[in-house]
Amino acid sequence: MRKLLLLLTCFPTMLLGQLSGPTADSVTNGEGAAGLIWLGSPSNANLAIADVEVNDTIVFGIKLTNWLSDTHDITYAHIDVEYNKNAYTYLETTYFAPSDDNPQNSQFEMTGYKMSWNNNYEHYDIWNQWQNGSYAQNADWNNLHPQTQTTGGDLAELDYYVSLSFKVKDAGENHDYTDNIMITMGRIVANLTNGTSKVYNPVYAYEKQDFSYEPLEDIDVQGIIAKLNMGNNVNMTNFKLIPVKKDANGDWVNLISGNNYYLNVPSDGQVDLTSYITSTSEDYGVLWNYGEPGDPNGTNDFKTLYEDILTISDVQLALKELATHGSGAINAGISKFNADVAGGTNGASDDILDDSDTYKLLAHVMGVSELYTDVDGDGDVDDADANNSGVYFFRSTDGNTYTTTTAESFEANGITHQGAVVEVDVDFNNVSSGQTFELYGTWKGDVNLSHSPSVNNGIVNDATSISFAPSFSGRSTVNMFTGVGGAQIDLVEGTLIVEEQGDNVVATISIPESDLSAAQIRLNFDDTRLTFDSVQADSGNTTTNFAKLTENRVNFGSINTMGEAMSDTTYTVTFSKKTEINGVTGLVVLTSTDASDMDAVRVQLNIN
Amino acid sequence: MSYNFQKWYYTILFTLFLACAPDEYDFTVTQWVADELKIDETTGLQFDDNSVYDGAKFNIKTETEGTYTVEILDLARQLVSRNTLKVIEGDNVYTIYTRVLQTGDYTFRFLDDSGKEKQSVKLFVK
Repeated sequence: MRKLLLLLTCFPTMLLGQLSGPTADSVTNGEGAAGLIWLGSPSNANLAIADVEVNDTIVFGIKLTNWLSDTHDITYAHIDVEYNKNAYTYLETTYFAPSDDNPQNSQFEMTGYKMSWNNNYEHYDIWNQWQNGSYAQNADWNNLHPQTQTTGGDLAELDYYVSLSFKVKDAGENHDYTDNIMITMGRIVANLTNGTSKVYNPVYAYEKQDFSYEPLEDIDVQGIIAKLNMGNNVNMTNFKLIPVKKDANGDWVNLISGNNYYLNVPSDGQVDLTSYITSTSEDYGVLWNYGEPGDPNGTNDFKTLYEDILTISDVQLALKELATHGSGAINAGISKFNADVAGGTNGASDDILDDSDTYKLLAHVMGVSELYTDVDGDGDVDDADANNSGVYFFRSTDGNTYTTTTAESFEANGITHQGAVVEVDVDFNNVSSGQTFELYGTWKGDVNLSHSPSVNNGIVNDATSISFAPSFSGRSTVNMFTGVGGAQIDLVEGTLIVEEQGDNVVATISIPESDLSAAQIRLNFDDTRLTFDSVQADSGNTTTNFAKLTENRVNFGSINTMGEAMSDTTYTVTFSKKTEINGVTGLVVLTSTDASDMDAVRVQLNIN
Repeated sequence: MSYNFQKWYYTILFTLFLACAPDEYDFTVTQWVADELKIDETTGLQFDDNSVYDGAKFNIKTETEGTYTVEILDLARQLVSRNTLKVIEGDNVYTIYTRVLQTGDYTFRFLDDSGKEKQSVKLFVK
């Protein structure tokens, strides 16, 4: 994965079109100039050069510059432009001198000739090339000679005195597109009031003299969409999409060069890739990445999300199903896939749901041990640990099935938060309708699919043994602060109060007696002003309590694995003041809750 | 005057001075309140800015001593935090800490000892 990321980061692949010319310092002694300016296409003046395809029509203007404008008006211009006829077909010329100035426009085209430069002069010194250069026979090149003569006004005051349009052609695989449209020679004159004239010398091809661009293929497909489906509790805008394509070695490389090689993802998870599909012969794909690639806070952001994904109700559901069906008896289904988190090497799964899985799920929630696997043993879990399926958390399928076989092959995304490449196999014959390349994402440990797409949403989840894993009822999800999404059938109301007590700040959370078998609460606290001390709970003798501190987040709760309901429970979370404080408003906030009833069904735990 | 006489003289004089002093002084302790937090009425709530930032101040002005409860509700009016504050008669300036609040609009509800809402204001937390 690291090699892939390196390649993706360092391999610019886009060939961009360009207009070029001499620098300003090179033309400081000039009296006049003529330069190419990009006018897009007849139907779209804003067409970017980089988007030009074969069979497009493109338009250039010739802009004159009059450095003698204080004393002279340009009334005559004759600028030669050559073009490679294998790459372009000349279409037409339009002149823009106003009729009040009585313009006399004329043009001729020399076919089968190419500029023969006089190298005693700079190529951009087009008045001296006019006098000393020549044209030589060359069947691949033509040149145009647009000329305007007026009786008044200054042609340099026009945005461009003439425009030339060309149809873009495919010149073949080995064609050199460099300077395929170019200003070669030029003559500029100002008529003087005494009946004489001033011939400009020197005249430069400035600012842009030439145009080099390899056009894109003529691709008329529309609406090429990459889409990620994930539960409503996941904020899709936190994802980034990396368009990729295969290089000559068959390796996936970034489609977009530079540091910003990824695209933002809107809330509906759909990203339009149409403008990036530029060749029928390339292999395209996308990578879904949770967070901004390379973001140093990415791992922490991901872990914060993961605290919402794998919660106590996931554990309770896995425990219940294991108790109901017995070790190893459960097969298929995304829930089982997500619950199977142990048994393999380096934290990988083994395709069997048994005690080792439920223990590991519970241990993660309780803070005994993490699901994150420190593969390289360096004491932390980071990108370097990602080359092992055991640390992969973001799992995806092709949208057809969540079977373990499919999942195994697509299993990816660990602490790097990045999915496997999803190939974008465009049907280039389909030019009438859009094409969407969907991915369904789920998470290791998300047994109740609170942060995964509903299985009734076009995904086969046959032989699901975990009875209430999917949100079959289709109930809508609820706000993140209440902590639950997917299927919920009950509601329990608790309370929270934060108080200052001497040197301490104490948060007290009370949950009334109900049929809850598990509850989990997460508080975030201002760790610049408080230090976490402890959590105390009085949830009954047969209930196991837990508390886990990660950064400035305290996850705590209770689980009863004896089939009994929790009693009226009060959690007392104690913090010490690190500094003087003036009140406690905002120092401790509730960020999520989760609960499960005695049937292992997720319950909405509201804290009021 | 001898030293002995002076000693007794000043001791008696000081004792008489203390005996004649009033039993108690009325010290009026008033909290300094920045202009932007001042409230003209006898009761009210005033924040020091239109937005709430970490370390922002607010002033609760009351006529009675007691304990107020402050609730912070998110856009969906779900409880994010609830805490108590001791208040005395007059101005009570407190700080809001926002480092662990996500940027967004929040409703700050102020309830008195009996749980009755005294003030409620929706503000943007930076």
